[in-house]
Amino acid sequence: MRKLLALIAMFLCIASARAQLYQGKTLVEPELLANVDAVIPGQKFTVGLLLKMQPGWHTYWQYSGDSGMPTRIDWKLPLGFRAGEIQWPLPEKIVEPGDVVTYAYQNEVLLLVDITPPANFREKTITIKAHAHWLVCEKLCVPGEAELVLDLPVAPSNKPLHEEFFAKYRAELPKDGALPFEPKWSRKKEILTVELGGLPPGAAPEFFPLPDSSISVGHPQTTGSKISVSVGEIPSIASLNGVVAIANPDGTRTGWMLGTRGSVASPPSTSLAVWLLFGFIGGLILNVMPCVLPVIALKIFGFIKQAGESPVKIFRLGLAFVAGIFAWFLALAALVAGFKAAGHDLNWAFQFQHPAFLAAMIAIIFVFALNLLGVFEIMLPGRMQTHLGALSAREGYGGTFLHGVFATLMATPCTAPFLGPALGFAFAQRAPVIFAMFGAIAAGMSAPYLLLAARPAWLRFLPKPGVWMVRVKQAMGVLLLGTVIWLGWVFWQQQSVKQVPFAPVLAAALEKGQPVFVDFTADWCVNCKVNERLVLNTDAVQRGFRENEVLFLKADWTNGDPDITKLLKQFGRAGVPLYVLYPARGEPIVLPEVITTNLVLDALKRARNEPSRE
Amino acid sequence: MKTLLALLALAIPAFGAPKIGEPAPGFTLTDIAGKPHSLSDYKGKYVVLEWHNPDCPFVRKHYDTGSMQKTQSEMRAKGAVWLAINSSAPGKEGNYAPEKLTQLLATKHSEPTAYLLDGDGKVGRAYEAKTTPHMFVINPEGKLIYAGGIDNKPTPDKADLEGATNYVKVALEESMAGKPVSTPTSRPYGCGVKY
Repeated sequence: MRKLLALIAMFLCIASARAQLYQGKTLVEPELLANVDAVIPGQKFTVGLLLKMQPGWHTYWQYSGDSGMPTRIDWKLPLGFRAGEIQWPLPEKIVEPGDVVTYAYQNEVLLLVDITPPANFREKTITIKAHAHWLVCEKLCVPGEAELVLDLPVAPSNKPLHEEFFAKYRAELPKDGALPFEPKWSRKKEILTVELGGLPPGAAPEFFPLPDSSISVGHPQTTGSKISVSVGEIPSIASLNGVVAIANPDGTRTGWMLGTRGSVASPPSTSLAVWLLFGFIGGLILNVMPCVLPVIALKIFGFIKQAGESPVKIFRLGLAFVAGIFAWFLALAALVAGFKAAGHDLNWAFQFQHPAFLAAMIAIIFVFALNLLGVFEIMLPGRMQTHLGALSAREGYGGTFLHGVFATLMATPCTAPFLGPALGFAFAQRAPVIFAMFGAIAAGMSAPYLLLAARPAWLRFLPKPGVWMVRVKQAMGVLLLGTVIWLGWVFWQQQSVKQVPFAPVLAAALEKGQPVFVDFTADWCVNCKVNERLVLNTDAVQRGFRENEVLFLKADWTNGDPDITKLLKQFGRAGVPLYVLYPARGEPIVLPEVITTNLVLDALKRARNEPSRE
Repeated sequence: MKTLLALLALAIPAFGAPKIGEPAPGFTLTDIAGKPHSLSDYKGKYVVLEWHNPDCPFVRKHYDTGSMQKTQSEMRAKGAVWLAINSSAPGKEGNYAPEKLTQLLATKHSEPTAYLLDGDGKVGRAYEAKTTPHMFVINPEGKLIYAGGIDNKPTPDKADLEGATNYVKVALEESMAGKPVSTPTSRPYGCGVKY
């Protein structure tokens, strides 16, 4: 009975609708429904576009798949009223002959749109007009459209309407909050795979992709908790927006917006390779530091003495020594990774927003710089030295291994200034990168030992220790002083610059329908500065912005503006850089962290061509 | 190991689609006049493949307005070969007898180099043609240089032709001028091919 009443009420709400006739059949009956019986000024309510299809016919989801067209609504609202985006309930996957896959709704769907009335207006009744366009297909496709009108009284209070009906479709909207699983992305050639960690066994997740309009994706394939999608040859795609749906025991489904959330297994990207090379070179440089270089020759002579000229044994001792070096650095990596895992919510870069942290960093690096410049020497406590010395004085492979550890530790006074920044970098990375980085440093430091243990004759090529080593050390000290000055500048910026409130400017521009490019940046973010210098501030890109009438906005996160933090979170990011292009119409386009001029110009082109979705 | 095999199995169909820069799959089909045409017959020329279904609203958008015919004649005037392919299976939308199709083309003033019949869908599947229209451009060396939609306005609304970028035209013109194709792929749009 209640259902019947609801149905009657529903029909009363339909002001005008044009049925879609095809060969004497009504393919789609469109209706516009509100979830309240009256509008309260300033209070958001929801309007639903109900499409009832003939059996076998379907209309499309927001990404229609291989063919079809998403339903579109153009609103004509009273002055000051705002309509949100369409909220799409979970679609069905429809496979047609020829492996044509589409995402669509059969029988019936309610597309929800939030309407926000202004806080003050005079009208006693308001009229909401929606021009809906859809494509309905069975074995063939017929486009349809309708001008729908909904009149609503204005009142200080209201009652909900069609509660159950709206609730049913609301339950099918993908949720935006915390995920009940942990997505992990990886990519192999054209195949992007997301593994949903922590799914209950037997859960068969469905995946509905939401690719940017510029890319074509293949058909998602599910095996267990793994979903794979072909994304073509575009190299920058490391994750894909989409909806994951999981069936509930009662036959309903629950969906989650995956967004581009989740960790991305780092592909061996050039930037990581470059970092590793730096790590290796850094390790190599450690060898010419005053406290290390004299040790090399001594060690190799030691091997020769122990091994009694047997080249194989010399090399094996070399390996044991190198293993010691690796052990030290990998232990250090484990320590860093452990710290990071313990404070997993802690965002390292975020620390740079706190003046106190920054001041401490400046002080520490300054001390290291003074150390390198020879103002004072860092020494290990005497007792510790003796103890370690005794341990590693034992001969054989075990002793040599320990000596490797010991030599590295002994080198700490020289290496600390380098390890500091390396630690800083490492803190911002995920565990595998941390280990790779420290491994690279260890490899760099080990390289001469391995080489010389294999070819002891090459000892004569080793540069002689001398004053030049002190000069190298001083040069490094100057470099660190440079870092101090840079950090000081960041500090000063933090203290002196009053930030322009960013969010209202963005909101105002978007309201006007102005396309906006937002550069999420911070003074302490070196990558941001590099991107700005090499890409964003170039004539070509600035001209691109002007020609496309795109407003270029900087969202400065130097001091951790909470509005910006919120926006970053919305895009699934914990830090800067982030580049987002809001087209005049359609979804914002998110650019990768490392941008190029072409990438930005392409995005501008895409934004211009974005089909209307309003 | 089993997962690995499963993953491999998944990967294979994805690699089956013809790729930009690689040789376009060869085929031989009969046209509506009963004459066979092979892709290899047209080596040395630019070839445009257009998946066609006369009843699809997206196709009609381009034909009722004369837009597709205009692109056709402009590109043919520049020496390109235009092959329309109909992959509608018998009994499905768009599958007509050759005489009826000849008549339909005449009323629309559509003049492709040939209108080919692919009722069993073999060629459509080889190209992974998904929609009508779905467009492919092949260069004189027989390599695929464009695959995707006809333009960047994925709707059946005639009004959207205004200001749309015709990717096929752009690809042909750029390639003929010795330039790389700026948009070699786009998402095809339209009705599903009625296999």
